[in-house]
Amino acid sequence: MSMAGAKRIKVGGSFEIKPGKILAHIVLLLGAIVFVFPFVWLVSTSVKPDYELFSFPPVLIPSTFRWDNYTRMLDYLPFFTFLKNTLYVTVMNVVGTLISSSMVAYGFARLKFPGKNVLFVVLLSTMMLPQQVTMIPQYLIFRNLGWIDAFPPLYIQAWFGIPFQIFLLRQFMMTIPQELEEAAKIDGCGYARTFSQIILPLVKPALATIAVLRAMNAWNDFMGPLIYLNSTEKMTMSIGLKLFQSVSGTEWGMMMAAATVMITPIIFLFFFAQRFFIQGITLTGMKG
Amino acid sequence: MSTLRNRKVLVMAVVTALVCLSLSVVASAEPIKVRVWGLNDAVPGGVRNQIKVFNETHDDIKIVPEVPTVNNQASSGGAVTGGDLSNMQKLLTAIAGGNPPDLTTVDRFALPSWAVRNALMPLNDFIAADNYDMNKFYQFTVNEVTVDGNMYALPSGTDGRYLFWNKDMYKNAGLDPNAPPQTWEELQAYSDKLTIKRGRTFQQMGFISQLAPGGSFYLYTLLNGGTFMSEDARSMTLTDPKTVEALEWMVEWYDHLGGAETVNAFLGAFQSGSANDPFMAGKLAQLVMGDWHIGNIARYNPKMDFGMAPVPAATPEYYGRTWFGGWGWAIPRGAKNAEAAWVVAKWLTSEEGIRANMEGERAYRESAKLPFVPGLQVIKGLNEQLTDEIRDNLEPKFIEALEFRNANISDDSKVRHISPIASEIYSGTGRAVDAALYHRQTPREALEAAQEEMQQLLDEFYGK
Amino acid sequence: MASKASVKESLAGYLFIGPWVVGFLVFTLGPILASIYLSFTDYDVLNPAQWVGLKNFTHLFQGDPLFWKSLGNTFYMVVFGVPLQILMGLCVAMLLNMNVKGMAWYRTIYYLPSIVPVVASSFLWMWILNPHFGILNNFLYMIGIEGPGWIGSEVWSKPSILLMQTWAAGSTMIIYLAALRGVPTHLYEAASIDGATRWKQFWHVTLPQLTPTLFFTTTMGMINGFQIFSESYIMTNGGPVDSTLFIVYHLFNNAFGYFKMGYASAIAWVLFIIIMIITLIQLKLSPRWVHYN
Repeated sequence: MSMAGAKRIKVGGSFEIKPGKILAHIVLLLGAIVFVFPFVWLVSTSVKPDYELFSFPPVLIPSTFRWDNYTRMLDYLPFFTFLKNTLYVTVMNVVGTLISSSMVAYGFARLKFPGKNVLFVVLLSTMMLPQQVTMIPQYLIFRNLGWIDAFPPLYIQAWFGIPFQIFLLRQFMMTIPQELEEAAKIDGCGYARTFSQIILPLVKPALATIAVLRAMNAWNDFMGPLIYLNSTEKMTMSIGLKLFQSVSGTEWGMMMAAATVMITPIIFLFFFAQRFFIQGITLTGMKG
Repeated sequence: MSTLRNRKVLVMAVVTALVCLSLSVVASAEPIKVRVWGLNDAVPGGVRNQIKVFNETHDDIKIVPEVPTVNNQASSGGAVTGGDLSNMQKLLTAIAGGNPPDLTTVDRFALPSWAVRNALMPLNDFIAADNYDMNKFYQFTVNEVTVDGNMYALPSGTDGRYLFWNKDMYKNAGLDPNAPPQTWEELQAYSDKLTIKRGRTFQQMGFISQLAPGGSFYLYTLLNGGTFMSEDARSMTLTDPKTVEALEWMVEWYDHLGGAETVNAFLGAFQSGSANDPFMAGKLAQLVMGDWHIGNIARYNPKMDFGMAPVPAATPEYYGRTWFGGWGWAIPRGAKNAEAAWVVAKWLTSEEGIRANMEGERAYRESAKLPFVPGLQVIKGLNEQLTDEIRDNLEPKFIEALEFRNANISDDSKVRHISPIASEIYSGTGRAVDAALYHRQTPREALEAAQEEMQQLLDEFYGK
Repeated sequence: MASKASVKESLAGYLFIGPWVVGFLVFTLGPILASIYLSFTDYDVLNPAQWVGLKNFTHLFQGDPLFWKSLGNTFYMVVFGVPLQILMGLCVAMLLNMNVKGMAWYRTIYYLPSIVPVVASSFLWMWILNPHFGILNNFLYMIGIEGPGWIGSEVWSKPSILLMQTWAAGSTMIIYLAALRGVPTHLYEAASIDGATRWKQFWHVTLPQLTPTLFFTTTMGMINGFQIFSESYIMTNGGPVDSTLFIVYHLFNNAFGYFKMGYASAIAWVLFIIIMIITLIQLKLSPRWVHYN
C-alpha cells in the first residue's frame, strides 16, 4: 500500500499569538459583550413582569423574575407538538442535504463531464429568482402530489440538494489536492469509494457548517410552514411565536420565553458541532 | 302457527327496517366539517370556547379551525397597504391552488379588491333565503361589505380612532385634565405646553398621531371636511383644497416639532399598540389611537389616569369625525361547503356567537389575572350590554372610556374609501404624506402626483 | 475518440449530480417557466392570465418610478453590504480561530445574534437605535457625538439595516471558520521559517488559501444581497420616503398587495437578469484570483 510511506500532513492551522494572549482575551471579551447582548436581552425579556417591558431606560435585570412565563407558555399553546414538528422537519432537512448536497457537490467539483459549466450556472440561477413569484406554481405541484397540510414541501428539496450548500461544498472540495484522488484511483477505488472515503472525510468542517446552517434555516423557517401547513397540530415553532400576537395584544413575556426555549437546541447544536469545524484533520497524503 | 310465523317475519322486517333506518341516521349524522381560517384555537381564550360551543350546539356541522396565524381582529389598518400581506399571500395561494377554506376572515377594507376579482362568493341568496336581518349590524359595516349591490361578508368587529390623553401630564403642565383640545389650534397650544426637549431630542412629546401615514392623513382629511374620492368612488379628489390643506397642516405640525425625521425617530423606537408604547411609558402626553388601546392600558399601565375624546378638528363643524376599520367572515369561491359555512358565519356574527367568545375570553383572562375589556362589536346595542356586564370589574375610568367608545359608533360612522384599489390608495397616499413630511415635495405636488397615479389606476380598472 | 475512462467519469458525474437534476426538473423548472410566461401577462392570481406582450416591461422601465428607486436602494445595499459582511465575517473568524482558552464559548456567543428570532431582535434594535433613548446614541453622546436619526432618517435608514446585518453575520463567520481550519499548518511553518511577519503570513498564506471561500461568499452575497427583503419588511416597512423599499419588497407589494402577479414576475425577471450578469462576470473573473490547490 502506498500509504505505508505516507508523510503526515497536519491541516488545521491556528494562529499562536504568544505575547498577546491577554490582549486577545480583552478583544474577545469586548466583542462577546456586544454579541451576547441579544441573547441576554431575550432571556431578560422572557422573565420581565409586564410593567417593565416598556420602561425607560430599558431594564436589563427585572425587579422580579417571572419564571412562570415559561410554565404559562407551555399551557398557553401546544408547544411540545410544535417542537416535535419542528424537530422532524429539521432532521429531515439536515439528513437530506448532507447526503444529496455532498453528492452533487462532488460531481461538480471533482468529475469532468460535458455540460458541467452550463449546468453549474443553471444551478446558481435557481437562486436568482425571488421565490415570491414561483411560490404559487410550486404550491400547485405540491398540491398535485397531495402534500398540502403535510411536511414534505418543507424538506423534500433538501433531499435533491440545496444549491447554496452544493456551491459551498463544491468550493471546499475543489481545494483538495488532485494527487489524493489520483492515488485513490491507482489503489483501485471507484468514484463512490473515493467520494465516501477520501473526499467526505476531508470536507468534514464544511459538512458540519452546512448541517448547522441548514438546521438553523429549517428551524426558523416561517414562509414554508405559513404557506403549506393548515392545521394547528401541524404547526412549527416559528409559526408558534406568531401566535402570541392575538386579539388582546401581544404576550411578550411568553413569546420571549418560547423564543428562548426555541433557540436553546440550536445553541447546543452549535456548541457541540463546532468541534467538527475546528478539528485538525490528519490526512494521509502520498509520496512526494 | 302461521300467525306465529307471520309474526316472526314481521318482527324480522321491523328489526331490519330499524337497523337500516338507524344506519342511515348514523350515516347522515356524520357532521359536515367547515374549514375556517381566522379562528386561532392554538391559544386559550374566547375563540376556543366559541368553537366548543358551536360544535356542541350543532349536530350537523362542525367547525374545523385552520391556519391559526390568520388572526381575526388583530388591529386593522396595517402598515403599508392596509392589511397583513402574509395572510393575503396565504389565502391567495390557497384559492389559486384550488384549496380554499370554507370560511375565512377578511379585512373589510380589502374586501372589495377580492370581491371584484370573483374571489368571494356573494351572500345575497343566503341572506334572501333566510330572510336574514342585516339591519342588526351598523349600516356602515354593511356598506363596507357591499360591492355592486352584492354582499360578500358578514361584518364582525370594528374599531374607531380617538384622542387619548394622560391626565397627570396635563396637570403637571398646568392644563385642565378634563378639557382636551377640540380644534387644531388648541391641540397645538396644548402640545407646546406638554413637549419637553433636550437639545434636539424629546424628553416628552406633547402629541402625535400613531397611525400609519395613509391612515393619519385620511383622518385629518375627514377632520378638515375633505375627501379622497368622489361619492361614486370613480374619481380621486386628492387635490381638493380641503384635502391639500389637511396635508399642509400635517407638514406644519411635523416641522413645528422639529421635522419628520426627528418625530419618526422618536416613534421608531416604539411598537405602537403593544406594551412598548410611548404613551404608556409616559413619554407621550396625547396620541391618536384605536379604541383597542383601552385594553392595552388596562393591562400594561392600569394606574395611568387617561381620558378619551374625539380627535381635534380643523373647525368645530367637523369635530367628532373619525374612521372605522374591521373584519368580516366571507366564503371564498370554490369553498366545498358553502351552505354550512354560511351557517357558521351567521353564528359567529350573532349575539350568541359573540357572547360565547366573550365568556371564554373573560374566563381565561380572570384565570390569568388579566383585565378583560370587550372589543367593539358591530351589532347595534350589544356594546352597551357588554360594557354593563363588566361594570363592576373595571375601574370607572375604563368604563367611562368604553362608554365614550360605545356612544361614538352609529349607522353612519365613516370608513376609509370603499374601492377595489383601496390598498393602492392607502399606500399611495401614505407615500405622498412621507414625501411631503420629509420635504421632498410640497403637499400640493405630492398630492397632484398621487392624484394622477391613483386616477390612472381607477380608470384602468373601470375601463376594463 | 473519448477514452473509456472519461466516458465512465462523465457517467459518474451525471449520476452524482443526478439528485439535483431530478429535483430541478420536478420542483423548480416548471415554476420558473411559469413565471417567465406570467411576466408577459396581466395576472391577478384569481383569474386566468391575459397575454399583454411587453406591457409589464415597458411600464416597469417607463412608468414606475418606484422600480428605479427600489433598484437604487438595492444596489446601495449590495455595494456596501456585501464587502462589509465579508470583511466582518472574516475578521471575526480570524479572531475566533486563535488558540485561546474558552474559545468554544466565544464562538458560540459570537454566533448568537444570528440565531435569535427576528421578533426578539427587531424589538431589541428598536431600543438600540432609538435616537432619543437608545443605547447607541447615548453612547455617542457620551463621547461627544450627536447621533443620527437611524431608522427614522432617510439618509441613515439603509446604514441602520447594514449595521443589523453585520451584527448577525454569524453564518458567514462559520463558513470562514471552517475554511481557516483547512489551511495546512505546514504552510505557516514554511512561512515563519522564511521569517514572514504575521501580516505577510496572512497576505501570502491565509488569503490565497481562502480565495475559494471568498469566491463563494462574494457570489452568494450578491445573489442574496439583491434579494434583500425581510429586514425592511419587518423593521421599516420600506420607509421613510421609500428609502428602504428594496426591489423584492416592491415586487412583493405588487404580487400580494395589489394582485399584480404578472407585473411582479416581470420585476423578478429583470432582477434575475441583473444578478445573472453580475454572477457570470464573477465566474469569468474567478480564475484570475481564486486558487484551488
